[in-house]
Amino acid sequence: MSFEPRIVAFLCNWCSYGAADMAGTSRIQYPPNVRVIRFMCSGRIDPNFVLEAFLRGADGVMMTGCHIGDCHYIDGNYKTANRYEFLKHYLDILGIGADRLQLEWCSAAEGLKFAQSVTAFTERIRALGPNPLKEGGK
Amino acid sequence: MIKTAAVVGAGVSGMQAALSLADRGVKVFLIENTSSIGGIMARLDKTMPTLDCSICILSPFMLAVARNPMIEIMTLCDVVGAIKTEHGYNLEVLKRPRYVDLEKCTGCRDCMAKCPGKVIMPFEENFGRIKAIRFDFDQAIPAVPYIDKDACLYFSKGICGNCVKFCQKGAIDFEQQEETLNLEVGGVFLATGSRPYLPFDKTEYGYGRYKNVITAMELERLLSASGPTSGHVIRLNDKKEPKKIAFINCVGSRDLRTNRGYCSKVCCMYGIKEALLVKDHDPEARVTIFYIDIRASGKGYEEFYQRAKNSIRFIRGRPGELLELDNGDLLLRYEDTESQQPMEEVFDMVVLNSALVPSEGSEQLAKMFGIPLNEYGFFDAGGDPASPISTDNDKVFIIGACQGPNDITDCVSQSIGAVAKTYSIYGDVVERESKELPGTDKENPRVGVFVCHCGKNIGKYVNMDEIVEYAKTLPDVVYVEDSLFTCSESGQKSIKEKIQELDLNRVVVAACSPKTHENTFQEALVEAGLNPYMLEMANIRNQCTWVHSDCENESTEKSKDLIRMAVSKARLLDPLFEREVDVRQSCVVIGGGVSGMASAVELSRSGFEVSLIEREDHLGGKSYVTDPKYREIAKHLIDSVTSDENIRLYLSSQIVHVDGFVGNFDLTLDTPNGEVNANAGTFIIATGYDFADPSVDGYVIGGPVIAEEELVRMMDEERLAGKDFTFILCAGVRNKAHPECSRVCCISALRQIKRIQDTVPDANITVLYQDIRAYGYYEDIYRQVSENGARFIRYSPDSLPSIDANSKSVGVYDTTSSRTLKIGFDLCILERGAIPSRGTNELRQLFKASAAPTGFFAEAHLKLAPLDTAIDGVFIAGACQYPKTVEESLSQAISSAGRAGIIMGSGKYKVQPTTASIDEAKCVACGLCEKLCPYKALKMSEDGKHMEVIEVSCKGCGTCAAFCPSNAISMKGFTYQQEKEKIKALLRGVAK
Repeated sequence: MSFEPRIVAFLCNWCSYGAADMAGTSRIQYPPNVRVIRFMCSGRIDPNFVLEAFLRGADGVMMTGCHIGDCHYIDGNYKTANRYEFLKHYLDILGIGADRLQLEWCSAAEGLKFAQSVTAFTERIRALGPNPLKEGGK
Repeated sequence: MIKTAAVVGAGVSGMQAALSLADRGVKVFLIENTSSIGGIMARLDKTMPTLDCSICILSPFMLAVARNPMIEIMTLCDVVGAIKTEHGYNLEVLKRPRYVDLEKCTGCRDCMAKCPGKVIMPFEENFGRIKAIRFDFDQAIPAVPYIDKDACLYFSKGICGNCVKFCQKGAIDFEQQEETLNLEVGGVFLATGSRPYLPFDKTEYGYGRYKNVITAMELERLLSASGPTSGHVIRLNDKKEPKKIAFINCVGSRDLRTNRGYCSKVCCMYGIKEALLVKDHDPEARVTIFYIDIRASGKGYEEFYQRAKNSIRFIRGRPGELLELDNGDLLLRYEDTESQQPMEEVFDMVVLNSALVPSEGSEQLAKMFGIPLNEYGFFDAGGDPASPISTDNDKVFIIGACQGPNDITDCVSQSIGAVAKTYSIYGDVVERESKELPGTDKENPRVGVFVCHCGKNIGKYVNMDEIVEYAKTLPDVVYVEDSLFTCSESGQKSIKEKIQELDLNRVVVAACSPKTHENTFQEALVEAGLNPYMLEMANIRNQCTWVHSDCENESTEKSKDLIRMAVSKARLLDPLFEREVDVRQSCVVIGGGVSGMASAVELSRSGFEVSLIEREDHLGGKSYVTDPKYREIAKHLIDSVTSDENIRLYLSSQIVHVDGFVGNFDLTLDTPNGEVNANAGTFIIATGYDFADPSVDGYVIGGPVIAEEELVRMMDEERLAGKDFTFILCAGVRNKAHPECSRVCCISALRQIKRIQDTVPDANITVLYQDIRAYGYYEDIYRQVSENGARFIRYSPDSLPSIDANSKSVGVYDTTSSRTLKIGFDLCILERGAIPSRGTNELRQLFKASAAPTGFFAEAHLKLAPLDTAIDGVFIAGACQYPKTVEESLSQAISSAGRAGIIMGSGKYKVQPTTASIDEAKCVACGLCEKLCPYKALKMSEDGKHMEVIEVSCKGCGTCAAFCPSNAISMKGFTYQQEKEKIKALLRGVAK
């Protein structure tokens, strides 16, 4: 059986979740590998959530939020952007690989962009292969 | 007393007015003639100068309107008659048919997919087909399409009917007829806005004839990701991407030939915004803006303009004509006013930055309500700056761009002022009923899962039986049902029945988006006696079947995953409760200038106690520097303030300490009689501005070189001598130290010039300027003083005028004639710019409020919350936010008083249930959360051992919880355990 990546996406309520909904109303198709978890703000994405997902076998994780400057809570997404940088660093150290984490800004009008990012990310993870933690078994 | 209001027009002004009125307990009929609320702003791609996604910031606002139980949205409606009654108005409203049932439609868009209807809009047809059944924009509210009768085959030929056939809800109703409704209202608030001028009669530009000449509004739609080309800028004739684009400013404004002498205020900035967006879409595109003056006179506008200069070419000149070439390119002829040479250049596309003109139907409304129109056809507020939205008719108010072109910020700010009028019309506060949320047993979860087919929208793409059977196997699930439409009356009834019958205490709805339907289902829970927060939704439509419609197996598996995730979180849900805190009925206003005094008077009139604090020993602020007319207003305000028993005045006093939160602030004042402790429910900061120091630009005041205030004194005391007057604008600003534009100095200078011209008939007046920013109707004064002989000479910021006080002359390089001129004067008047008033920083720190880069107070949101700071209960008014004219300051001051009044009026402030909470045992008091919170909702406990959440200030973003190194912060509704459980459920069985 071919490898089907498991992808977890954390979305903020105001922009990126709106984009995902809009991809739906516009019927823009993308691969069914992604599962969405909604927060009010991308600032809520606890690094532990990202690590938890990888430890439990996710092949890729997306962090998404409003464009810089558009955050509904003033500056939550700036903090998300910083956290993304250090998480990438740790994923490399852990041997999971920074490539498996993606940060994406989508406005509520960018249904197409959301679908395209999910598609591109799914393909990237497909090329990378399964989460190396899974192979060792847990 | 009729406690109802009609707000006519549901653009951003009308929506804001409706929300403000509803907040005061007034029932609002929001009457809109299109099919959706939202107005022009909903159609914009981005807003300037922050480049916010317009619909992203507007959508939550529109939802707030739609969810407000006090607001009834009436779309496709026109006011056609009005009879004044003893208590207000009896309105006759014509409701046009939508042909789609608002109650039945689920917004699934199946009808649109099957509609063969053709295009009718001349602009959009070149880009894509528009359906006869459609939304005007994707995020429309109500989220129900309408049928355009002219484009519909059923109505024109009696054939088709696809929408009827394919609508699974039977929501299409061709039999709908026009209806006339009668409304009894206490007050009428007209917010009919303005509309972009379609420049057909500017024949020299060939709009409508030349394919690649479009208006800025049309470009806005092309730029928009949800527009007809999904955000691709293409030419109309050959669909190619234009590489060379020209924007022409002032099309149909500042133009007496089309009888529009006024400046449209917003076009310079939206033009720059669109130019930058074009560059953003295609970095290789070369963009030129043709302009007369760049009127970048709002907050952050000048900085935005300066940034744009890096990538956009600006040419000063008004193009004379356009000619279309065979390949659709456009030959543009213009005179470069800087080189005074006739020039020609070919562009791929030309964008006309067209004026804002009165909305259609303004005349009829004006007649109906007896409101005068000004010479340009906008509603005339009568020119009393102290009552900016009032008309001669005490039951009718005019708000926003129906008074004349205006930007979003100023419209919103003015619209909030509607609330102040509720006191005069509706009298005392109307008590809103507050509902207690039912509690729910936390232990022993019993979960009911309700799966929606959404007609065929979900059901067709998944194996529903498999999903239902699967859901039954999940832990603690005691009931599963699938229904055709869970959101329908019968679907909701079933939820309620099952909750009661089976003692369910958790509900999972697997259907569409919580963004649109969470509220609906929460209400069902409450009606069945369950806490509304015991609901979790699984979005298996928008984020599953609609986007994976060709893979049933995968969609079924994904739906099962999403339901499993929802159930796992549902099991851990906690009941949440709205708390209320008592609010003190008093406001402290800081600053005794016109803004502060106007706020104080308005608050007192509304029945609140006010303390007015002024650090000087007198009131009036900078009103002494202005026209006699404004000084009259200031004098009147001083009389009102000093004679008002509700207003306690503290002169020569300053705040030295502030503590507490909205509704319950404590403060300490340093007064001439020693320290005074006081408390307050709200604050209004109105600390104004100071004058910039002109010496940074090399100008020295002294002798014949004076500041404007001295000129005013001279004229007041009738000792103005001489006849040669030279004004230098932008003194001390638009330089490195203060890059911002001070907005008011041009206008103030023009007023003084007019006054000189009126009193010294043979005066020679020379004005040295960079841009004359006489926005809106101030353009009329500019034109008048120019016609009366004032000479305007444009200098470059790279070569500032040099004053020689001894020889009474000024040397200036005139960029128009490219010559250095020497101009003699009797008096040289410096128009000093405005900078934050001294002490702004200290005051800001007292409140922990943030500053704009220029040092002025930062508002919570430049467009949609211009009067709020990020701190609840602390508002700003007037020039402490950025420089404003007296009219603008007064308008904002009244509105800020209204905002504060809304909070204090009910005596209670609702704390949202989803806040952070601290586990004191785990907290190590590191204080990181306090630094991170943009709302200052966390603070150290008194004993210094742990942090505390100020729940009333918390907005529930959860950033603090994500960062807490000791995991001591829990974000209600999105707790660590709940979300971790969700991740576990999602990946169950994956890591083997």
